[in-house]
Amino acid sequence: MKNRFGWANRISDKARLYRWVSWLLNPFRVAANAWNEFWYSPSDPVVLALIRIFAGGMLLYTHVIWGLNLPAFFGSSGWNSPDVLSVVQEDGIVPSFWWYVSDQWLMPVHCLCIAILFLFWIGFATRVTSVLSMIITISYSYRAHMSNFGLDQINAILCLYLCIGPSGALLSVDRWISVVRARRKARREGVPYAAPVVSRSITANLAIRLIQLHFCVIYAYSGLSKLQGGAWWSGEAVWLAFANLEYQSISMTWIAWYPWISDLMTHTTILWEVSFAALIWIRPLRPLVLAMGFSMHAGIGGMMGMWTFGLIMIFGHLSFWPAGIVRRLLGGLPLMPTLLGTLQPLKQTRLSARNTDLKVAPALLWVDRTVRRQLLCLRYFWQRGYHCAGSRDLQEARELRETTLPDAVVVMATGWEDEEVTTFHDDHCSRPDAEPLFMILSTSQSARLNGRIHTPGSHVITGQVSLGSLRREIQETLDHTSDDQEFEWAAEHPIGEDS
Amino acid sequence: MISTIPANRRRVPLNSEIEAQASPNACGAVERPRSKWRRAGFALVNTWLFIHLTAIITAPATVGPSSQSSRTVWTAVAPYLQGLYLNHGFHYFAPQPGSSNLVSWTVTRKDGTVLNGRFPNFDIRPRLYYHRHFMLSEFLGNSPPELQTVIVKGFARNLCREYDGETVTISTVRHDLPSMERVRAGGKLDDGDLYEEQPLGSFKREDLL
Repeated sequence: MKNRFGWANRISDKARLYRWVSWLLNPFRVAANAWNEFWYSPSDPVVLALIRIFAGGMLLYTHVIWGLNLPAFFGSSGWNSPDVLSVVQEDGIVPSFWWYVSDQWLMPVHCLCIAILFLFWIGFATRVTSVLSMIITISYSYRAHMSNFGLDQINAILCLYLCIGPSGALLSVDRWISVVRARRKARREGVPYAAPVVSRSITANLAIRLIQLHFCVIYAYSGLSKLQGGAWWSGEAVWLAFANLEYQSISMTWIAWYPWISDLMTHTTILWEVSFAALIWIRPLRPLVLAMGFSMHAGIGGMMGMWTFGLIMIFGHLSFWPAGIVRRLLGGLPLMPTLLGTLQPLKQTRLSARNTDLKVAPALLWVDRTVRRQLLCLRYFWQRGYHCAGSRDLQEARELRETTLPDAVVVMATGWEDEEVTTFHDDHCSRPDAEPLFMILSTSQSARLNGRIHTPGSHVITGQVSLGSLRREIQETLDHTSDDQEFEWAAEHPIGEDS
Repeated sequence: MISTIPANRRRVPLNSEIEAQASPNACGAVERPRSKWRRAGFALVNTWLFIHLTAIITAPATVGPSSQSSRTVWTAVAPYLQGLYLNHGFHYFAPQPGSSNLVSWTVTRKDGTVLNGRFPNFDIRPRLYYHRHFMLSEFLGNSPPELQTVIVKGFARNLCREYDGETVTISTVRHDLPSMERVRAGGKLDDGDLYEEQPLGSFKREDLL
């Protein structure tokens, strides 16, 4: 629930309706905000770190296997000899440092590459080793061009995106070093030790989104290209794959007596691949889509002997896993409290993300008894890029506040009993992390309540006020708050993470 | 602290009985002034995202049959795709799983010893290493004839080097897939008639160097 995207998804039906209305009224602004939110919302780097461990391990294994016969695959007289590749690769751009390595240097260079890949895998100097790993992966792939298959493609794709995000921020030697440094510093200064807090990162989100979209592209084309083949329509395709002795690792010829199994698996594979790019974004269906993908790739690995390819695709699926679940799953493992760390509270990161000028809009909880007025106000704020949730009930507003974590709460107090208003106000302001509260009172109500509503976190507005004025007031308050929080957080946690 | 909005900011009445109206000069949600460099950086990232997404979507679309438009777009983004090893079709087992290709070879040494082999074979382990050899034979078997003549020379040279051979004979072997009916009737996946060998040539060591 702490995710902005999730926040926007849990608005009420009424709010959802108005979201569509906003699309119709101002599609470009809404699209721009959606684009920014999709790409630039900061996220927990734990998923990226987990992908680094799995994909980095696969990278290491892949390259160790190359080393079983370097002269055959990378030598000047090997299978992929340069004169043959110059014809095969024609005029393409094929960057590889292997073109400049003579035969006697094959093993030293290979060992150096393995060492770098190992460092990347364990997350040491990850910003550097990730880029070097990408260069290594691309170089090996182009040099051993004729021996490549899907594994090498996905290796390179994941490696590229792991370079973009802070893949070594967690579950890594880098993280361990930062913890040790913080501990030493605390000891030196004689202050209690506090583990470095993990920041949500925009680049982590960017990398995860790129992996997700790339996998959508992969499955879409993989599925659509299969539709050109008759066997994928007739149901024979899976049989043909199993009947290929060179791929086989478990005999599946018994399927010949049960053709319906081949039909079912063929049609399911096609349906799954073609629909993946759409269904994976529907949250309730995501676990099912991923489970089916897991089954398919585990089947490719177990029955067709392509464990490496099956696994690397499953590793890519991790990008669709929520960070919270990954944290919970990893939390019980040894050393995890150190290597996972504590995630920085959402609000601070969210506001500091706003300070990066990436137009991550604030979220408002709007409480108003009058439906028509509430809808008009919500529309106004939606059109200006705010995330809004509305409620007509003060009790419901309390629950919404807890679950949606808004940046500010606006209460149109007219229509409620004075007692209800003051109770809501006191309850709100008694919370230690209370959001700024904007109470809009009628003149008579203000006169009655004068003196009963006055806390630093609440803003009482009396009489007539325009929406523009209210919006500026909210914006100024949030800007002011974000600066303070940023400063306080930086002072409290001098060892920062990538944000 | 009680915050109030100055009177000069109040225009359209909002609360009580009068409904809300939007401010005509309202701007976006985040109004903090951005520096020139930040704006430029943000624009650059967005531009790169657009190019990157266009590139990765276009690359598989150019695998034949493809449109002239997709090929034109691909031409523009090809250096980017190739530079990052992203130029892939993702046509796995498409349009449909077909017969596999193997390479059969015979090496004759200086002392007259004759060695025979075929790859891939299940003696090649681990499985990934086996798969590397399988991809070599698939590449050769699926290449057009004019390219096969070039590739097979490279293969012959490597076999000469590995086994210290004087002459090498190479052929490609197509392994067809049996139908369900055939298997039900007692057929095996490795029945001899499913293999079709096509000689690609015989090469002498001195011709290969």
